[in-house]
Amino acid sequence: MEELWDLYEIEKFLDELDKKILTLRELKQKGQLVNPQELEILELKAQKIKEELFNNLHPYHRVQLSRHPKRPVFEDLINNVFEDFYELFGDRMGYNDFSIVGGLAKLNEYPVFILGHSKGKNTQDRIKRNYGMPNPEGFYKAIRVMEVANNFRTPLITVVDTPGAYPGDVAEQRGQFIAIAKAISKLFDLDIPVISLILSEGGSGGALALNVANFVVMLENAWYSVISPEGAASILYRDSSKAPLAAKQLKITSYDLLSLNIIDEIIKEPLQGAHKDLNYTFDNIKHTLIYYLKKALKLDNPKEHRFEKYRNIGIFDNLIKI
Amino acid sequence: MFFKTQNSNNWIKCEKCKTIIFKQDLEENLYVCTKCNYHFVINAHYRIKITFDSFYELFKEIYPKDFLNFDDYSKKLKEDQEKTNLTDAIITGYGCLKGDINKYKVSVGIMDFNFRGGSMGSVVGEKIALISEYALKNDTPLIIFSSSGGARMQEGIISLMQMAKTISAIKLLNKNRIPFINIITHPTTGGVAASFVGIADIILSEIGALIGFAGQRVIEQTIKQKLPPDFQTAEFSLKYGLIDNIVHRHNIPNILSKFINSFYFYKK
Ligand SMILES: [Zn+2]
Repeated sequence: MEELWDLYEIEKFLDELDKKILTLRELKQKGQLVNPQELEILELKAQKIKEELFNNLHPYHRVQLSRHPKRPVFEDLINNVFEDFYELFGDRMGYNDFSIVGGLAKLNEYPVFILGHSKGKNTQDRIKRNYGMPNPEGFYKAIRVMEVANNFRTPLITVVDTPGAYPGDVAEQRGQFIAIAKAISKLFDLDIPVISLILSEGGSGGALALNVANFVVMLENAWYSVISPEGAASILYRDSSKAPLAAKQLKITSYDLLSLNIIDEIIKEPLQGAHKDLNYTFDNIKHTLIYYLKKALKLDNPKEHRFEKYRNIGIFDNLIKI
Repeated sequence: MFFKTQNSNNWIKCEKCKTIIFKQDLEENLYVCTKCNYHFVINAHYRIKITFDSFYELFKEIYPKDFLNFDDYSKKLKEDQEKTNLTDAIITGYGCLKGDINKYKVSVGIMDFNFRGGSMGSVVGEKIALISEYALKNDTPLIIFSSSGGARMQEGIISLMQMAKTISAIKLLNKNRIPFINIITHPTTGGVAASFVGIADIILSEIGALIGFAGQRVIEQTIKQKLPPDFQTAEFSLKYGLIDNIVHRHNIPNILSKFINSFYFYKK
């Protein structure tokens, strides 16, 4: 198996290099730089390393970037891409699952309902939000937001960021399989346009439950897969440390999914990942969502459009048609 | 001892109670243990034989494809095709249920766990969509026997999308009030449970069948606890209201006929 360079080590090294460059630049501005060549060399070196490594990321590097502790989460989008958010809690059946967040918001002048997996920003919040892994009540909460959006005739934008549905005993008791099936099913019922953004992690059925949409866009370093690379590695190779190999085989990157026609567009990230320039990332997300919202609003029948789109996904041979 | 000569094919050991059963007795009992009622996993061809008086296969022309060049997927497909005499993990068609005196027509899908663990890839997805459309066009109820470990890894994201595709196919039936009954046979998990199975009008389960979304090993690792022995069984699912009833293999045609007859009784 090929050896992967260590993303976090390289990032640490580059951060230190950038810091050094910044210090030298400040000196230069003050006219106190003794050796201007040193700055030039360092700048070239940093740029070269960044381009060589980050323009040739292994699929598993992208998986690591999608899980980076500084990676923006849905909450950051609520505050920086959307405005004027008003949250709707409960599943109306006895629970409020914090791993799912939904409500009314604005995207520029457009009122939209937004609905997404919520991973949380700090340890305490992450625990409260179950690391973005919904229990059945989370999917029922999502279904509620979908229904409300539909009745208000307001488009729905979903944000996908989950390692997967929560694999717990109580989750199974309450019918995780039924909850997921019903959420997917509900998305086919809606007469409104649905746009889905795959923000970071798209883990299997728990991701799909929010992802059936007229248009799907995806952050460059996000992944979306039928099974997590670790899960696949432990089944295929009986060794979860072979996740990089599985990540490559499964074709889970934004570039893979674009070439398989599963997504409509890749949203570019800064060279070293979304967290390196948040404003750049938020801007790109916002512009892309607005573009696809306008496009979706022009659809004659968004519901029919979704039925047709998903009816036609599949790659097989038809011996009669050959 | 006489019973230890298991290699002679006339004797089969029950996987649950370990009783050695005379093969002919087991066959007459539809591969249900004569002692403990354990339901052996049976293949799709045998399921057709014991469930329908007549059956006509449709959509046999749909073949799987290794479009991701995934490991030895091509080779495994060929091996399973030879082993099972199937093209992929489902047979679709139409027929009449055993013993139905009215000979009402039903559209049918039967999954086979012996083919790639019954996993759902493009072929299973397409054939479920086609048989649903056939049911719609012919105004017949749809019956699916599910048996699957989930979505087929070797077809990557395309297999995940089959969950949405099969759900959309069933939605078309809902819209036109065409009933869909799913019979869960051992095991039905992951992306198959969480798609068309999860939205069936009626979910019945064979005795002892496993049903659920997540795998038990993953759950145990997550909650750091051992799971009870009945976890995710048909009996467990019935207790928590996840399915409508449990059926004995012998009674399946009869119970299905009751529902099919109710549909046709009022059909114009
Ligand atoms: Zn037995």
